[in-house]
Amino acid sequence: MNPYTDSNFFTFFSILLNRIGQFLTGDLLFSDLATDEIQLIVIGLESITCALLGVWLSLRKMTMLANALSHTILLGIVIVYLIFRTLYPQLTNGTFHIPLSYLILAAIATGIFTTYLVSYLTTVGKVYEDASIGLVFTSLFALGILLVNIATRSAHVGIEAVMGNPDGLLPSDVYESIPIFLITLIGLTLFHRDLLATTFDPVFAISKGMYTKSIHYGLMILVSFALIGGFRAIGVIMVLAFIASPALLVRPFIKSIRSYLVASALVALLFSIVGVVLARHLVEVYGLALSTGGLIVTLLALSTIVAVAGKTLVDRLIGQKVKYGV
Amino acid sequence: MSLLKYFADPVLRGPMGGTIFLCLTLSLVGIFVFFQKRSLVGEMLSHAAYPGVILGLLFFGCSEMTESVLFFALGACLIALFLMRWLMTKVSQDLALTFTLSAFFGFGILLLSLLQFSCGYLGRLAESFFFGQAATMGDAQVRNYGLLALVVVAFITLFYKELKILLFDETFAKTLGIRSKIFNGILFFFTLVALVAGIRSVGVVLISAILVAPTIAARQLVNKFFHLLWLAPLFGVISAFLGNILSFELSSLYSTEGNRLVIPTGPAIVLVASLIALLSIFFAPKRGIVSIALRLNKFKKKRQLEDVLKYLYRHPDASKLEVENLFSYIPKKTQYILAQPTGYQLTEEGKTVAQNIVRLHRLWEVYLVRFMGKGVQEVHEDAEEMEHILTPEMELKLTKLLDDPKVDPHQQPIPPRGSA
Repeated sequence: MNPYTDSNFFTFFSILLNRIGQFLTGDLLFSDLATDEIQLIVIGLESITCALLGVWLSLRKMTMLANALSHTILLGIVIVYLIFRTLYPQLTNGTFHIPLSYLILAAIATGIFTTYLVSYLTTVGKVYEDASIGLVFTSLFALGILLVNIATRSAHVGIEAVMGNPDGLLPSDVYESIPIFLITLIGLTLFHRDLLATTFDPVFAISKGMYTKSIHYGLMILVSFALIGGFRAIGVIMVLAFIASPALLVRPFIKSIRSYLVASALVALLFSIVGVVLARHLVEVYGLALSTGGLIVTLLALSTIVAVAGKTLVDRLIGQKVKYGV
Repeated sequence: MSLLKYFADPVLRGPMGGTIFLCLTLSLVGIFVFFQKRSLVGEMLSHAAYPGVILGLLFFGCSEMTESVLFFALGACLIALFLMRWLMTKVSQDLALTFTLSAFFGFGILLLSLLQFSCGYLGRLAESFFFGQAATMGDAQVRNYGLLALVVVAFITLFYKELKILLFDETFAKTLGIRSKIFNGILFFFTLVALVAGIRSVGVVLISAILVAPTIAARQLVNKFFHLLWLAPLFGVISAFLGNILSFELSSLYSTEGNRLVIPTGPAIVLVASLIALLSIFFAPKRGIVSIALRLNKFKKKRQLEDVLKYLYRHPDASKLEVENLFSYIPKKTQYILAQPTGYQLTEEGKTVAQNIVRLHRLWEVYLVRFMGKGVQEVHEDAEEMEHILTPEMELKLTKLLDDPKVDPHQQPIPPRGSA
C-alpha cells in the first residue's frame, strides 16, 4: 500500500517528513520504501550527477558526444543483459534488472568504444567530426534496438529504455544509484584541477604533464555511469536533458566554476523533487498519469528558456551585452 | 522470383516503395547537409519533431492517423530551429543543440504519456514513431513520397550549377549574383520535409542517419560532386531495399504461431546504411583506412628491399653478419638476392634493379644541385627518399632535362639505365 495515495502536492511533503522521521527512529525499514521515495532518491541523485557532469561537458563543448553515448549505451546494456541472461537464466527478473557490476562493465566498454570510434573515424578515417558522431551513434543504436527486439521478443523493451519507467523501480535501484553518484562526485572532486586546466588552457595542461586524453575518456566514462544510473528511471535521452538543461539554466547567473557546479546541482535536485511530487499530485488530484521524466525535463526546459530570456531582457534594459561564450 | 514480391505484394510494396523514395530524397539533401557540417542539426530536428507528432495526434482526436499530423511535426521542427538559433547567440552551438534536442524530446515523452493515458491505441501508434513502422505505409504514401523525391530531384537538376557553386564557394556564388539565402532556404525546407516524412517509417531517433551515412559512403569512393549526386542516393535506395528485406525476413524468422514479432524497419535500414558507410570508410580502394594501410605497408616493404639491394650492390663483399646487423629485414626468397653460406649475393636481376636505384639517387642529387640551388652536402638525405618514389617516366624526364649526366655532385659515376 503506497502511503502517498490521495496526497496532493503539499500533503506529500508532510507525509514525506513524517516517514523520514520514522525511518530515522528505525520504525520504517528500507524494504518498506514506497515507489515515490525510491523515485525521489534515484532521480534526485541522478539529477545531481548529471548536472555536475553537464557543467564540464558544456564548458568543453562535449555535450553532443554525450548525446552519441546516450544512444550507444543501449547496445552495451543489451549485450551485457544477453550475457547475464545466458549465464544465469534463473536469476533474470524484470527487463534489464541485472547486477550493477555488469552494467558498470557495459558503461565502461561503451564509453570507451564510442569515444574511440568517433575520434578514430575523425582522425584516421578523415570524416567530419559531426558526421562521424552521427554515423557512430545511429549505427550502434540501430544494432542495439534490433538485438533487444530479437532477444526479448518484444518491441516494447527498446521503447522503455528510451522512455524510462519510474514505476518499475525497485528498492535495489537505490543501492545502485548511490555508488554511481559517489563515483562521479569523487571523480570530479579529485580531478577538479586537471579538469579546469584541460578545459580552459589545454596547452598549459599538456605542459604540466596532464593526461588530457585520459581526462577526456574519464569524463565520457562518468557520463556512461550516469546513463546506466538513469535509463531505467527516466530513459537514456532524458538523461541528456538532465545534463544539458541545468548547466544552461544557471549559466547567465554565475560568476565562477564553483558556483556553477553548486548552482546546477541544486537546481537539478529541486526540479527532480518538484517533478516527482507533481507527478503524484497530477495522478491523485486530476487523475493524469504522466511520465515523471518527461515532466521534470519539460519543467526544466521551460524554466531554462524563461531564465535565459529574462536575464537577456534585464541585461538589455540596463544596457549590457549578453554573450556567455560557452 | 521471391524478391519481386516486395514490389508486387499489396502489403509489402507500401513500405518498400515508400522507404525507397524517402531514402532517395534524404540522401540527396543529405549531401548538402554533410558539406555544410549540419549533420547534428538534422539529428536535433528529427528528435524535435516528436512532440509535434503527438500534438498532431492529440489535436485530431483519437481518430485514424492522417498525414496532416506531420504538419505539426514540421511546426515543432521550426520552433526548435528558432530556439536553437536564439540560444546560439548566447552559448555554444554544442550546448544549444543538445538542450533543444533533449528538451523537445522530453516534452514529447510527456505528451506521449498523456496520449497513452487518454487513448491507448494512439499511444501505441505514437510509440512506433520512435523507431518507425514502415508497415503503416500504403500506396498513398508511396505516391506522396515519390512526388517529394521527384520535386527534389528536379530542383537539384535544374539548379545544379548554382547549388554546386554555393556549396563549395559561397563568396564566389555571391559575386555571381546567386541568391544564397533563397537556395539554402529551399534546400533546408526540403531537408525538413524529408526528415518529417521519414519519421513515420524510420523513426525520430534514427532518421538522421539516412542524411549522413550514404554521403559518407559515397564520399570515400568518388571525387567529383556530380558522381556524389548519383552514388549517395544509390546507397540510400540500396539501404532502404535491403533494410526492408532484413526487417521482413527477421520478423518472419523470429515470429512463432500466436507470437508475432515485428522487427522495426527503421533500425534495419539504418543498420544497412551504416554498414555500407563503414565498409566504405575501411575498404574504399583509394581512401579506405585498410587500403591506405596496405599501400603504406607495401611501400615500406619495397623500400626495405631496395635499401638492401642498394647496399649489396655497393658492397658486394660484405659479410653475412654485416648485412644482417645493418638490416632488420632481409627478404629471403626473391629473384633478386641469393643467400649463400658466406654472405648475400645479388642475382643478375637484382643487380639491374639496384643499379637503377643508384642511378635515380644520383640523378636526383644532380637535379637538386643544378635546379634547386642546393649545396652538395645537403642533397643526400632527400635523394634517399626520392630514389624509392621516382617512376621510370620521371627518370626519362630527368635524364633529358639534365642532359644525361655521367657523374653526380659527389663525383660518383651515374650508372646507365640497366635493362633486365
